[in-house]
Amino acid sequence: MMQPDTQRPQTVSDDVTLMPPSRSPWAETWRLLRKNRVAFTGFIVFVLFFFIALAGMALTSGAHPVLDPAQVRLQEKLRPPLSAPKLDSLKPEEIPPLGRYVLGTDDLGRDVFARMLQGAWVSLTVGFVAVGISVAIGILLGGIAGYLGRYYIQLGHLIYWTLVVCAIFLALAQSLPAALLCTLGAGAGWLFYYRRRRHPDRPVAKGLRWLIWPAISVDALIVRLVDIMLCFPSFFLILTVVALLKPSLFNIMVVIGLTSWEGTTRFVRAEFLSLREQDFVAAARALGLSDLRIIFRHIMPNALAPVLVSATLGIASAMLTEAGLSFLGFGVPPPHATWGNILSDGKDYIFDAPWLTFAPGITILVVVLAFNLFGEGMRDILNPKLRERN
Amino acid sequence: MNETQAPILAVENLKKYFPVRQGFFKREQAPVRAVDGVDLSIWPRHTLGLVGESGCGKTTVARLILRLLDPDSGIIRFNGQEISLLDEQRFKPLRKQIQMIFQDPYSSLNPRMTVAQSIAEGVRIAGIRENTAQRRRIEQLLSMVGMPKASADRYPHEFSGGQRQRVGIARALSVAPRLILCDEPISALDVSIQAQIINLLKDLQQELGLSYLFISHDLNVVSYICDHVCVMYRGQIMESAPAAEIFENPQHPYTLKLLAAAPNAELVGKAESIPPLATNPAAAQSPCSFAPQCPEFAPACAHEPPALRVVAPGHFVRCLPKAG
Repeated sequence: MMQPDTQRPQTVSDDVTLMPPSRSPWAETWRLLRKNRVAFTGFIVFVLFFFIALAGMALTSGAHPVLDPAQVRLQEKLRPPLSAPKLDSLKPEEIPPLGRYVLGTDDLGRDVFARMLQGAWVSLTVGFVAVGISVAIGILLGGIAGYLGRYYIQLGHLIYWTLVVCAIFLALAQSLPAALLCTLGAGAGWLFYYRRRRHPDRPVAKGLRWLIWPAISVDALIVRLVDIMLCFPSFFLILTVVALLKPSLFNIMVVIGLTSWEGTTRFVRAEFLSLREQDFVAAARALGLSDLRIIFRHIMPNALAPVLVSATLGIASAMLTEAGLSFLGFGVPPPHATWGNILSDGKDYIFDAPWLTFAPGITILVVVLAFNLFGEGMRDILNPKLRERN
Repeated sequence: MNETQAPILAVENLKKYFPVRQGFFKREQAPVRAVDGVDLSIWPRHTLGLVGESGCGKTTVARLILRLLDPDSGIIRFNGQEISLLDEQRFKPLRKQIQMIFQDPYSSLNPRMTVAQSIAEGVRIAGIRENTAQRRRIEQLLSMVGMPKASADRYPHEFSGGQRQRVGIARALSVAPRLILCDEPISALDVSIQAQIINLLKDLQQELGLSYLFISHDLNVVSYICDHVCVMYRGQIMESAPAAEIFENPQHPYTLKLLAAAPNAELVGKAESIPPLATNPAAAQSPCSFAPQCPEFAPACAHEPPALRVVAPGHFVRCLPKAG
């Protein structure tokens, strides 16, 4: 029924060959980023920080690091920045490889420059992993709330899953009788739903009808969860959790990630709600594409721009949180340097050795400011309403 | 119209009510009757026009046919097969045969996909999986809608509204449909572009043997492209007639009003002859949904529900016969 390639006379008035060269959305974003000087500066600092942290990781780790952040030289303590080491008093392995103490030494004679490099890696991993966790949770929950939010959860399902979770936790806490009780309840619930799935047409017994009452929509459940999480002052929540758990880099990353997903969830939910009603999604459904393809190929790429912006801002705030925790002594345990604990160690010598405070302080300021400027710039650039002005 | 042939699409007594919840306790109010018992038939290779003011349920009808919304009741038969009760899995193969062209060419294309990628989604569904074959098919579709091949690797934001609408048509054609629902395809476009798109649609119909449901609020356009016209008001078909008949012999007061509203030199005289609105309190209680607006409101209209009645072969009107 289809005739092969009928050549129709050219009816398009403005020919495509007369248009400016094609630009993909990413190329356009890059062009606008270069025009926005403040955001571009932030971006440069961001890239520099990234490579410095990678280099710092390479230079300060291993059995015999090039720059050893843990090398104690008590005879050389509190030397100011750029001072030359007294070579005659040092053993060969204690001599700093750069020939100078670039950022001075601390109260144990450790090279602050090496410690800052080691701390950069901590800040980078905490920032990226914590935000990675929170963005992953945010996209998942926000996507579910936005795309499948209109479905209702039955009261029975709520009770069933609560019992399952309780049973697992009680079993982990080794209070076996209570765990057994919860397991029994969950088992009864499983039986109820198993029978309903086998015979979907059979009416529910009158006494059990409350079990299938549609209690709450998926959307409402997730949004309420976000509201509850926002009620906690998150820094103190993190402080409590870290105080209870063993302080380690891994724990801090996970805890910061698990307490900062609310903003992303809201963003993603809002984007999904508005994109779901767009005509191109209706067209995709009309073509008969699967739900998964519509979500990941059609909706997600359009929802990602604001998520990237909030992730950039999130990295900055995760780094600040980590520095705050380290400063208070709840961060990465001491022999390992982080910007927060260098700052914390330095506060006792603030008048004798101000570089111990200023080096990490100014670095945190610059990096966090750069991330924030970059994030805010990206928000303007990715906003289509502001974009048309350029 | 060829009455002996079976219609490609037959809609009977289609209904869709949207619940309205208001107030602090979200109590359910009287629902909005977006589509309230609509009957339509579209014959193969013909165009059915669906005309009415904004918010009268035209687009909802199209979305119900495409199953983007689920109807509350009614029958939709495509090619003789009942499709309103099929579940999504069994409806999927039929989706290829019914496609839609959207009103707003700015939101109907995914801004993060090139033209080729957008069309490729349909080409893949149509069963062409090999890359070079896909590419060949995309270029063929683009030339069918009068777009140069070089446009394939550009993004939607680089095109004008008319060009985007052409891409939207190419995407609809990518699965080789038999019926295309055109949801006000030209009302967002420049007047000069409108004619191009209408002619393109007519040419494609000739070439590919398509059937159209053409939704519009512009009677002039409808008269140009449609074989049969249905006039819709508040979710109901008020008048249904062959296109020529509806212009020569309009029966329903609402049709007259629409004709009068159209900027057409021939009808200017008629518009002035329509008396002002009736302010009869009985009109508010009338079973006829048009009664409060009706310039020809008669005492009988206050209680007797109007049913579709035959005026001439193929010409139906939902209005009581005039007394005397």
